[in-house]
Amino acid sequence: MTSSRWQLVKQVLQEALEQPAAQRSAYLDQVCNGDAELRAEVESLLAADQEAGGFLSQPALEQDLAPGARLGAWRIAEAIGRGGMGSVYRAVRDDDQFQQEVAIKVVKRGMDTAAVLARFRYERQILAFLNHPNIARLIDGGAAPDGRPYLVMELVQGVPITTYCDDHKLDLAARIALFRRACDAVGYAHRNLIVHRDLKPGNILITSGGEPKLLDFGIGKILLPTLPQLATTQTLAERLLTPDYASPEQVRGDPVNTATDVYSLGAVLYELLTGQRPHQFTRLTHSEIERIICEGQVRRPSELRTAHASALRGDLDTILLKALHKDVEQRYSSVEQLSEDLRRYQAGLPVLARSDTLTYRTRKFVRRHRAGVAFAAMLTLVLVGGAITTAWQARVARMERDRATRWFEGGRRLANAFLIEHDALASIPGGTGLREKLMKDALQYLDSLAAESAGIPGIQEELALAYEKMGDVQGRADGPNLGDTAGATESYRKAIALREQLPPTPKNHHDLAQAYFRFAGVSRIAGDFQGGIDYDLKALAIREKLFRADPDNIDLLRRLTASHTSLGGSFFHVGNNEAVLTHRSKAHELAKRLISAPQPTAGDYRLFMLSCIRMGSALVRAGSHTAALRHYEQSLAAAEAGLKQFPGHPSIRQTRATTLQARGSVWLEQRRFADALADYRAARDAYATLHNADPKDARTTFMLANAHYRIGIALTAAGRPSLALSELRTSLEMREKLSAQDPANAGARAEVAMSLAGLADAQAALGQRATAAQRYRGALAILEDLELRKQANTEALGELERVRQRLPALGL
Amino acid sequence: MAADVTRLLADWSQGNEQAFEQLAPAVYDELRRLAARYLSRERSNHTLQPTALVHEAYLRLIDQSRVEWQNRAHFFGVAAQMIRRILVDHARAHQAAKRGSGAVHFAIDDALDAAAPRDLDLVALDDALATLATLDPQQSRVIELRFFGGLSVEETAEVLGISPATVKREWAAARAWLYRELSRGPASA
Repeated sequence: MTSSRWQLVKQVLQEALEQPAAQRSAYLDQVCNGDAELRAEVESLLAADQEAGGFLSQPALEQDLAPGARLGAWRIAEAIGRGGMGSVYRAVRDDDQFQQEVAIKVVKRGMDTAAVLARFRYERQILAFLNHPNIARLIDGGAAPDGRPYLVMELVQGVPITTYCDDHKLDLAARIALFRRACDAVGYAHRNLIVHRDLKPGNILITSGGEPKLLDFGIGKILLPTLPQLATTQTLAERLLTPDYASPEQVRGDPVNTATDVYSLGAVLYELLTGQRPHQFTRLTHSEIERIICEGQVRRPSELRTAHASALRGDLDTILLKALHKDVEQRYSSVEQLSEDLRRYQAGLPVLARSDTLTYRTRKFVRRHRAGVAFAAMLTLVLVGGAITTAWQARVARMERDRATRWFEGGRRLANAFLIEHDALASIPGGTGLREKLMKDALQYLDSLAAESAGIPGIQEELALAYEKMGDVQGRADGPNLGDTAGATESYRKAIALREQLPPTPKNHHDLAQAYFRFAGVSRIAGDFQGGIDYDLKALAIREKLFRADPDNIDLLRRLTASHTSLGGSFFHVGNNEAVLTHRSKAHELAKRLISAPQPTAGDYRLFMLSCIRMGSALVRAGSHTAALRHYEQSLAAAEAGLKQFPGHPSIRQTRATTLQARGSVWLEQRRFADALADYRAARDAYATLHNADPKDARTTFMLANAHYRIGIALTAAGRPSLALSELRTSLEMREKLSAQDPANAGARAEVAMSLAGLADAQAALGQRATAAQRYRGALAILEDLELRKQANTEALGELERVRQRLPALGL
Repeated sequence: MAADVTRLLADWSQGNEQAFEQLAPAVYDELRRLAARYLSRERSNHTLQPTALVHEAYLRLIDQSRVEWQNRAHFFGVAAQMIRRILVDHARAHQAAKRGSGAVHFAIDDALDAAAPRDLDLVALDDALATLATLDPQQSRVIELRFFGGLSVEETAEVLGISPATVKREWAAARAWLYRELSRGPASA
């Protein structure tokens, strides 16, 4: 068929398709005019169209989230809605921790995932304080596999407030009463300095029990700021923001505040009382919306033809028009004001909105009042902050000594309570950020107390404890941490200085050993391996002495094991293989005793698994692959036993992943690529899950980045460098971010160099010599710098040697 | 990188066909990289949406402050072609593997198997589309943008600079023609 012939066929076909099926034959008679070939051609295509059914109707790759799909710790149960911002699903928590049903909002494509998630993390800390029975909680957030951000919220079964009132045929008074309860919840959020930004009937649900539940608090701040970038066609913005309830300042893109929510509530009340919305839009273009909302007059409710027109005349007209005033200054300046006026209306009192003289005074009052509101909110947020300390210090000057001491004791108890409770947070996914805040507050408090109260017994020990806990949160080597190595080193150093001055009781010795031990861990991370060894040996000496005196003490047994493990690690880094094997086999032997004891804890399983992994890597270095693999098998078996006893335990899962990672590396060395990749990928997926559960935990981020790196180098080795690129780039991106966050971490910088070199290997294999050379040079610069500073471990030194040989081999 | 792609897009939209030759590999690599990243997750997580892919590739490749809508539309056009190429390449490789060429099988291949349409011969569709392109380039583009690129009728209209009604008419005719072509089998194409 020629192109011009096809144009004719197509035209007839398209015309025919637009005819009702019954008339097509008559149409063809008329059009084909005896051209039998044309007619046959069109008829055959019409038949094809009939048969085609769903042919090509789904885009090639499109799939919605199916029931059973996973998002982070959640499993999708069903889709329950589709809104301007994306799809909403019902989901359940997909681990053994507890059964929890939630709503998950998967944000539409086109949102900038990184920015949304960053805002989510920031907002989550604030929203954590929002605890009100009529506000649905924001629980979690993350990125779906296709990169779209999602938010997890309390699941609310209810209907929009407008629908509820109509369904239950509520009268005016009942509608106002229900609305005021929603106002209470909004007022509570405002006192916590949180503005909703998108209040509308769909976000004010009423449960079957008649309870209001406000949805999406805080969501607006997380999602809406991306709007300006998106509004390329000026339609997305309108679809996201409901124009019917949006305030003039929002439409104009001006800053929003609590008055914005007052406006939206006014619009909802308008609809509740009149059955109509304040504005009518004929076309949903941006200019039309802006013109109507910013300049159009809101129709006086009593002038609408509604059932309650006569009841609306007067006070309710005034209240609604004041709430919907275009000028923020003329609007109610708080939700409480709006609610209070509604109460006055119902009680038959004169409403505040009516009196012009009162308006002025009210505004004055509220301005004063607002400062008070903000202050109260600050106090709740800050918990044990500087405010209390300052108050206490001011009082010391005036109060008698004994009363001051009582204050002091109370404050100290409070700070200690935080120290103890913050430990519980460590085991909650997502708890790291909260721990940091609690710690900072408590430590600040203790610092100021110490300055005021030198010589009061017990304070030194408590301060040491506080510094240790702070160090743990900042950068403990073997627990969830914030990746602040320099901060952790400083905190541990302060703790040691305090503890070394305490009387030599067994308990104090025990605690001192612990402090040395932590310091050794963080020294090793900072690249000071000899310092790590020195402090580990100090800790070991104390512990061995204590254990000799108390050989049945399981706790001491654990700590001894940990000391040997840690020492093995430090010697490994400086390349003293003999010492490595000595300490590691000692640790392995002690750990075996631990999990053979009557009631091993999850930590015991982890210790044993770690001892296996460490033995394995020492054996690999000694060239004994078979023995190493046997140790990895032991570790995996222990993981299975441990997980049976402690289902889903994060640190066992993580250590299991580390085992797989180690085993993968043995397979890689034996060039068993499929096995290596399978282990690496299983490890990566496990780390990804743990990472998603607590994205602020630098430790799992390191491991995830490493897993990507290992997969990448395995793919290059397997002759698939093009596939390796994405893994290596991911690892490089993650590692660069980690290193930038924690510049004192020498290992993190070495890892950046390894990713660079790995990427260069893959690019060299693909013939991209110029880029490869550039990456090698980048790696070289970092590794040489580490070498100069004596912060390079044997692995980094080996890599340095390798890169030095690879670069000239490119022949550039 | 971003600046390059932006410049190439601008050149291309002003009629420089050579710019396309340089643009395509960059887009192809980025899409494949993104696809690999999405797909190499757990099996149950496969939700590969072409529009999400394309959008993310766009954000990564383009210096956004310097791009106008016209270029953005063009980008979606390129991306749809690239998704077509990725999927069809995969389908061809899969056929080759069945014939026993001994190629190593990777997770991304599994994932593409899971994500790509099952009951459709993509290689045959690709051939038929190539034939259609000689008869009616616009129809072939409509199919490519909507089916491979995942664009809506309105977005397709925007990219091609035609009305949504025309997109619908072209779609219907092209779909009927392709369906007939595929049910006839390759010999009569």
